[in-house]
Amino acid sequence: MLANSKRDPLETLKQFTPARIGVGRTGTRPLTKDVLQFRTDHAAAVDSVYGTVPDKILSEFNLFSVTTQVESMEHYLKRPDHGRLLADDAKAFLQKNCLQAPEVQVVVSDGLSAKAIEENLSDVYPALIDSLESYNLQIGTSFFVKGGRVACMDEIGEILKPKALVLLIGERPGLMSAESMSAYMCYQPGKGKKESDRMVISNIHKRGTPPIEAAAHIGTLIDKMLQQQTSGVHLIV
Amino acid sequence: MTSIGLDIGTSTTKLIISELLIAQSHDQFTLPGCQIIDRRVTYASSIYTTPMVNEVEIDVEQLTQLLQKEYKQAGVTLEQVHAGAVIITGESARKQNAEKIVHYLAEHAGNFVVATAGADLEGVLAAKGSGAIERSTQIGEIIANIDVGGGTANIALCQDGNVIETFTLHVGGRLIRLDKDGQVTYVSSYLTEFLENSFNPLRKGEKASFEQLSSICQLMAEETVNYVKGSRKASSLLVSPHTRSAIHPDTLLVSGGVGAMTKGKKPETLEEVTVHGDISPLLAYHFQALGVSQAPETARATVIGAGMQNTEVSGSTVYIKSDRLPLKNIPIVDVPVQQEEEWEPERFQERVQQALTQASTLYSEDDPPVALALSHFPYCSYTMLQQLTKVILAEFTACFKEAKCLVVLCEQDIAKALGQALAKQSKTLDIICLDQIDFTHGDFIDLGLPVAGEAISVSVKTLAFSS
Repeated sequence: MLANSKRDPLETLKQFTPARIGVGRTGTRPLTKDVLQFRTDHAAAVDSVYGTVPDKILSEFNLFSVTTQVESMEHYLKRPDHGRLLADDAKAFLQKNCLQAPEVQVVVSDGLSAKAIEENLSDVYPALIDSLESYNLQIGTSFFVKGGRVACMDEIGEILKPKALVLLIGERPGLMSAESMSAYMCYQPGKGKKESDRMVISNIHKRGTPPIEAAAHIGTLIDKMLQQQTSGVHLIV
Repeated sequence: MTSIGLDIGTSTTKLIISELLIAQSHDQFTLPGCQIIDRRVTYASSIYTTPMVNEVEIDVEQLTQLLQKEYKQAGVTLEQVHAGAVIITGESARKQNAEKIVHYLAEHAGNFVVATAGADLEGVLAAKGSGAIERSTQIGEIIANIDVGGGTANIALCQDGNVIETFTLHVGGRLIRLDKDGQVTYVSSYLTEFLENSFNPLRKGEKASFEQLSSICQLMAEETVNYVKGSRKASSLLVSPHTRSAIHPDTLLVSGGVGAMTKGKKPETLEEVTVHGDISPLLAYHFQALGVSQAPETARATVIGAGMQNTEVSGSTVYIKSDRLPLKNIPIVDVPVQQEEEWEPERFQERVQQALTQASTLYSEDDPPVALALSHFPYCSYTMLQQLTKVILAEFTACFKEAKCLVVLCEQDIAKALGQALAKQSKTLDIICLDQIDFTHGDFIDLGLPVAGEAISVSVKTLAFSS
């Protein structure tokens, strides 16, 4: 059927994906403009890994900062296990400054893309707080974890004992989007929790999952987690 | 979900029963989604002559009997029908019939069946039912679906699965009726001007020759095809004023009762023309002669469209804080969010104010009075959401002081965030906020009950009964 089409069928297919398809070539090589675009996107991805979240955004939402056992970005990349553990002084700091055993704890982390937090936090965070409040949930003291991995949720769970935890974390950047954020959620996080206990809404950015709608939906999921007292694959959604 | 479609037309009435299969996507990583994945006709009635009391009034009693018989035959009870539409077309869509039919529906067709009328919607439903819309998604062409029935031809231009333009012409098989000797028993007054212009006056009581009828049908078909193709910019046969856009369809399909006859052989004699006591076979032949192809579904196109395609499901992340569902016949008030380059809350406020003030003169007594439909929705930041919410609430409460329920519709996936924001700022109103609804071709919306998760069934429709 496509063969009869007046419109270029490749153009139609391209509308379905931002991926680099049908870019053409000259001889055996891609076109210069595509090579340059590829390099630009790659550089943006690298930049977001090595970037830092501006203090201004964190202070806008009163988020104080703690660190993990990671000391540098090289260290972070080589030792994922260290990104899951908080620095020694962080534990005492959280115990002292945070509400203990709240219904919902919100944590923000740069993860693999500081850019993701920079771009999306100002839309997702306030909308998330609104959403949680609309379900009348008690929200703990939110903070920022520098150099965190997803499973740092477990140690935070051990320290603060929240019923549910939401971690907003920068995703591994791709060549399509370097500013994509994920929201991981877990009921009673703690040591020994499995990947299957966690839930995620991924690809949150302007051209992906709409940030404020994602935030609104997180509230619904958390409410369900608290009602059913479970999360991950056990949660009936 | 069982859905029925009933098409009460000028000349014929038909019914279909279909099953809609709804699936919820359980992708772990994205927002939940919900859609109708299969629509299947499970029962199609035979085609009946519309029972009439007199020239214009529908015989509701006979219609009831007919429907009861068909429900029984199909093995469906009223309680099982969860959705569907009755489309009242052509001459039947008169005001004196409207009220009767609406009452009748609630009692005899099932609670969630909606009444619709209006030539635009008819064209859209016919294009959906005939297969024209589906074909437009498969090939990159603009397809015109011409649904020729007894009284009117409803045209819808389709591209990439969407209807981009609709209009209606007074072209139909029963506009001229005659007995088998060619004695004319009826000529629609809509044809008078057209016939005079074509030097072919034909009046009731006269005897028509085969050649005369053939030439009239040819002219009617040509007029239609030329107007649809856009090579003619005006026509005396237009039902309502219409400015033909510059869109030129690549393919023309014909459906409807006349469409069904396009594959027959050419009528050669008056007797062959008048098998149904009208000019349908001859009109069909002339469409065929002009190279218009037959649509995949013809006589039942509109009823299939009404039964299977009229019901949609909303997005899955929606906000419903109200026990009022189901709600019927809520007028849609369309307000563009962002017409300018940049988002300007003041300009949006002006538009909301203007639209709602106008609507408040018409619908202030109902609750919810209107459904505010937000079109031209750009990317929405948290700041913008707050401004949007403030404007909507301020203007809504100013225009509808008595209202206790606010309904907001949008195309983009934003309803839950918007609903939560509205509820946060207004503690007194019931809020219903739905997304992923295409309201381009409707004036009213019916909201059903949840069908899967939070998603509810909706029907967007028109209700233009002529006087």
